[in-house]
Amino acid sequence: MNELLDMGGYAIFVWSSYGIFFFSLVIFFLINILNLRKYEKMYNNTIKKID
Amino acid sequence: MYIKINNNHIELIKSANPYLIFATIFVFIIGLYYSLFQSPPDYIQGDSMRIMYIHVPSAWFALMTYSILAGSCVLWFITRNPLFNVVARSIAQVGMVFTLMSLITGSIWGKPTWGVWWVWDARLTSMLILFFLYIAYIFLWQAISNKELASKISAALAIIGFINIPIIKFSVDWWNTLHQPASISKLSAPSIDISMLIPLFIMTIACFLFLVTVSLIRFRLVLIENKMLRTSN
Amino acid sequence: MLNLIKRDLLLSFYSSANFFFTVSFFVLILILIPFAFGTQSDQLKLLFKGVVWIALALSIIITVDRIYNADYEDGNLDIIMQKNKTIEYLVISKYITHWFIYCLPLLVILPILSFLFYLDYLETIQIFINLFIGSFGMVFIANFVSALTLGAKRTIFLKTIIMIPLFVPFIIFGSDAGSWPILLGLSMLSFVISIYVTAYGLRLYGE
Repeated sequence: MNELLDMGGYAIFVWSSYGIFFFSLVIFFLINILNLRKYEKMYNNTIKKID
Repeated sequence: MYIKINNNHIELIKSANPYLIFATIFVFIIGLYYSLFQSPPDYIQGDSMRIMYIHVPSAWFALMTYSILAGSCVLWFITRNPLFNVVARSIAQVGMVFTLMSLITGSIWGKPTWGVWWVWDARLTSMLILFFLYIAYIFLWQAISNKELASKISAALAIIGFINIPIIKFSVDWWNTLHQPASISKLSAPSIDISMLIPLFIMTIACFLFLVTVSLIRFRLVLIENKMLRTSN
Repeated sequence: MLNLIKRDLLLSFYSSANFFFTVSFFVLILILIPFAFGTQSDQLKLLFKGVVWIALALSIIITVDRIYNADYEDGNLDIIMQKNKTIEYLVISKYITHWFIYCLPLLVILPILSFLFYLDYLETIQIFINLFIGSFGMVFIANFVSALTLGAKRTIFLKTIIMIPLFVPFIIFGSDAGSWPILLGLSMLSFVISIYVTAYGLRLYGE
């Protein structure tokens, strides 16, 4: 297992690039889906008020 | 050619959303397993080669997204169908994230392989310029308060950027031969082993699924934004 | 068209600060080279050939707010556009006046500066030719960026981000003495694109 984590001496490069990649993808996804929820709620509220 | 988005389409996109998210996560996990554990290390670059499995797909999709963006802006100008502008606006930010990721992972890969974080190579420089173009497209739209005008202006800018990218590539190639001989051997891969192609292929599919998922979420977001701003495009 | 050129030139003559604005900016950037890099003559020569392009690019970037914004804000643009159906005349006259007001002074002051940096006559002439051709291309680009960003207020950062990628080819080919034909080609290409896009942007904002 240690050998796997070590990555032949390139551990810091490999793990940091994978970490940054997936972290930013997840953050970006969350930002968008939370924004969508917020906007849908706002839109539905305005529709209700108009009705 | 005139496609109109109605509520049925939005319901369809909405219902497909959980499946898409599930598929993205699933394929990413398989891809991670293959790229980190199942594939052999490269005999020259060693294990730092594994960064390529996320770097190459994100660079491909950065370029592909910009092509779709510019293409849909052109189609919008030709057909005047607001759908194309919605597509362009929903895809732009995903492309920006992919460009940034390809730049970051590329320089992390470059440090152990080339010994430096950055090389003023034609490909790297044009990726950097591509990142600026994405920023210009997204923030110009936000800076102009009249949103119908903002869409037209930023679409024109996207098309100009699409013309600019090949010019940049050509001129930086020229510049490299002019100012400095190519000191660093570029990544040339005449034959990639099948055991390396499998993780690359799976990661490409995973990135594509991510692109589709987030673009469809942003598609709904942009449509609601348009409804709230009471504009058609 | 001649009336428009005359009007713009007169306006800038009345506020003569316009001339000194870019010239002083351009000169000051170049004057700072020896302070940063030392006074070795070979090094200064080499640096001057490159930094003169950066100085030109920056001094065109800081003028981009002054091309169409004043006319747009006081409503002159609408009046001019209602009078002339072909707006391209206005665009070409703006190119000419912008080049006269902001780039010609830089080219006039260039020979004096190049002797300060130990360049000989031949090199000065080469840089002059390249700057002459390249400044036209940069002016075309600055014009269409100005026309496109009329509605975006106080966004000089955004304009810089838009213009820097478009200036990169000019800087690359300009700093090489022998490649003036490519520079000429780039300037012509940017003219063709710019006249169309500038007119498009002005029509959008004029409606």
